[in-house]
Amino acid sequence: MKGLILKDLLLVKSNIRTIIIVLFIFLITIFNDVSSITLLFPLFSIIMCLTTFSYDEYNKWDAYAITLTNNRKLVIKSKYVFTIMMLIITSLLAFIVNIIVGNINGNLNIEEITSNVLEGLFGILVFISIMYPIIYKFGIEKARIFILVICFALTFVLGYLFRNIDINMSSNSIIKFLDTYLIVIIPILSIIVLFISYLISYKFYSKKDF
Amino acid sequence: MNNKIEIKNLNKNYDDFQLKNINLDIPCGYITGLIGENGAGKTTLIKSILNIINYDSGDIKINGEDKKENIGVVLDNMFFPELLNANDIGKIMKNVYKTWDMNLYSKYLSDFKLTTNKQVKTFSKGMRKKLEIAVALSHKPSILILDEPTSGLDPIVRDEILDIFLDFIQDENNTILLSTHITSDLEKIADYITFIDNGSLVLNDYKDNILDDFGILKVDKDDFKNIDSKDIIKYKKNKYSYDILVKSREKLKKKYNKYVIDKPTLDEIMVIYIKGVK
Repeated sequence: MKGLILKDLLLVKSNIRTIIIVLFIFLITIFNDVSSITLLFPLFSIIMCLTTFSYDEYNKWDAYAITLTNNRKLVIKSKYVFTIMMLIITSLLAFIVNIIVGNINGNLNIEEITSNVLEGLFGILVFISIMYPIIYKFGIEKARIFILVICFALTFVLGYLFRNIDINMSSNSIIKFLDTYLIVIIPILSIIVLFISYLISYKFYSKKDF
Repeated sequence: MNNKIEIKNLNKNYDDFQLKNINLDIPCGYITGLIGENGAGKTTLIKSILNIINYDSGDIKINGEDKKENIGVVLDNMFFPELLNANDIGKIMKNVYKTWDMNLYSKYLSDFKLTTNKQVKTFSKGMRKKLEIAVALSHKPSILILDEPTSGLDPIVRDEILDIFLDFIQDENNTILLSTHITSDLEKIADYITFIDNGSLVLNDYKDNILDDFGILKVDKDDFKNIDSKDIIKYKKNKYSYDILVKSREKLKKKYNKYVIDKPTLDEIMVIYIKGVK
């Protein structure tokens, strides 16, 4: 598994110049409202992860990866672990940038930053938990269309929900409860969602011929 | 005899192609060459052995040690990430195989004159094949499963690589299964020949048995009727003559002492078998 993760890391590294430039542009253009980085950084890392799928497909890597491990589960697991690693690194990065900028601007609110980062992280984890099984079922090229559909659907559904829930948001005890225990709930929920997603991905992948 | 790979009643159905009931043992300590035309099922068979495809029925057993650690693989199409270089691939493999030998890898790379810091995508087809072979050998496997390892290589490099295979097989615990279109390579190094046509196993024997037993009987159009039809495996019509594939060459030489019966090459056997009629 280590070898397969390293392969993806090296692939990302081979694009390192582009990544730094893009992150730098992010930082400059949105320096006023630095909180959007909380979502943009991890989202960007997901794009990098999806790119590794494209490389794998283009280079017909999967067939070889299966011979390297003789275990399709490990191939899937490596991809999930790699993705989570990337997400955590970029979320931490976003967290740090937020704190630094908050310090400079004198409006540092660690609690808010933490919950923002965690919420962003959770949103993206849900997104990839839906995406990865689709990628393993249909391949990355076809899955791209689904990415768009899911993005629109999520925006629409969430937008609709928020508009309707908004009225009694602050008084709603469930929301309050969620908000208080966010730091516990989100990791647990994430793990459950990711694990189910992993099982489905494996089911698709195990039936595939390369 | 000690079998390294045992394949029993293997079936795999695609929409337009079937691998039909393959029974095959790959003996330990020998080089087995897999031949057949494009689309005959060589790659399907190899991919079944490696679990890259899910076969429909049958059983494939690889005897002995840990399957993953002890098999070195070259697949039919290129498979290394193109953006990486040979150094990167070495680092990856070091984390994949417990038995990975970095010094051996470096030695192969320099023997094959491969640059270590250039992206794989800048490599020619032959260079990529060499890299794949270097990787397949560098974790010191006991089984090599190679799908057309020498295609795209010039005769000199091919010769070098065949020597490496011969060297590898000196250890009687090692086994090679390779498919190829370059049957002259097999005439040089293979011990066994397995011939697949249209998804079925046609022939599986010692190479020397095959080359000593089969013969090509060449007769004129008018003499063709003199040949006993039960002696004919298959025949191919040329402009003025017939090429007839026969078995028991030495016996038939006496029976048809008027005609010439040549020792065939693997290519000739393959061509008459596939293109000939009965």
